Amino acid sequence: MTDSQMIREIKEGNTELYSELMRRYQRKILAFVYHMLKSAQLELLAEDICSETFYKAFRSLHSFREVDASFSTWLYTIARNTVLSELRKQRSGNVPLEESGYIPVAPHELVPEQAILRNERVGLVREAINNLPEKQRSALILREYDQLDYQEIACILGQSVSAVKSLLFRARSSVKSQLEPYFYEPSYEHYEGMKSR
Amino acid sequence: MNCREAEQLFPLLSDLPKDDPLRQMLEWHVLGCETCAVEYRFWQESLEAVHDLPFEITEEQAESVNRKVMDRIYSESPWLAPDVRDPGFHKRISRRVSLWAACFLVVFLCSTLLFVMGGKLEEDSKYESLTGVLPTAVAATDSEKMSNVSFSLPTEVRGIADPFVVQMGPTYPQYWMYLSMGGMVLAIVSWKGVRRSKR
Repeated sequence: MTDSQMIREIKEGNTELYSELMRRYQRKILAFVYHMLKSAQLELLAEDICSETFYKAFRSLHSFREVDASFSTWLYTIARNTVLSELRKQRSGNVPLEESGYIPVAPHELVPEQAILRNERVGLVREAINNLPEKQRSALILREYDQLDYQEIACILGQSVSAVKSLLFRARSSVKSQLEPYFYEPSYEHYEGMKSR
Repeated sequence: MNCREAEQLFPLLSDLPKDDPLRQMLEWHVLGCETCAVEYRFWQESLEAVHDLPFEITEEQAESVNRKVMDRIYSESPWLAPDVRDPGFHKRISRRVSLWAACFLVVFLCSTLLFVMGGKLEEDSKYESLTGVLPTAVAATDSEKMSNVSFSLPTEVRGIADPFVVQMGPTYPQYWMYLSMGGMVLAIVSWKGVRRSKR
């Protein structure tokens, strides 16, 4: 059954089918929300924001028109708006890091030194992504983690395809220039050496 | 390809397919240019670092989102909640209602047939009722002269004060026609009700 068939049936009153429709996208949307929030170290809110996204989508399903965008694009747009409003709320509330529940966790199989290096690297990448302007960050996450094409990203961000290319160009350049000093450090070489072993 | 062109291409490198001619030209250039080779390595490492962010969504997490949303929908709009009754319930009720409707239809058809045929039989019986017995007034005459004499008998005209008698009862086919039609209407209304409750 296609998305549009499912949506038609849901609109006709078969609400149970919405659970099935969600299953098709819940991982993708959760991943997107997770990445958007992770850069702000608010990933613990990811599930709630994702639920909110799907709930909002259900409530506005009657206004969804497939001619404007695909269901997934529409969902991503709702998810992005929900994340942005949450980030604004968090910023105005100024929630401290400890209260946000963020605890950096190292994978169990790494030895302490590797874990420290890995956490350092992960922290730097997250910071680099977090420092990006919102549109660049969204474009980068949608492209690198959700593997969406330029057209879909353009639709979600309400930009043209060429603008998306430009956003991605600037986002990647910015991340690279922020991470560049780290690549020169001997600790990184050491880490790379351990990784290859 | 020169260094400036290569520099412009580095950020879009991950979007280019492996067999893209631009990518191949860039790789050829990198092989021959030491400065661009270093830059190329940085670009690759930075993209790798972005992709390497630890991230894992478990099935439970995804399902918990699904459950939360459905619970919220049902708690805020209980009428949308699925019917927890026996799944065969509606089927059984529908079957019974269809059976009633079918029975009433048969009764209706039989009574209609009887009504139509009965009318014809009545017309036929008018001719059969001519038994040859003469009317009393005629029988009383003993002379042929009397054949010209006409009797003016009072016609049977119902007065306005006389009660109107409905010719309905189990012995009349119209009675069964109306009864079965009512039954069918009731069956259709019940069937619609069952369908609505199913939705």
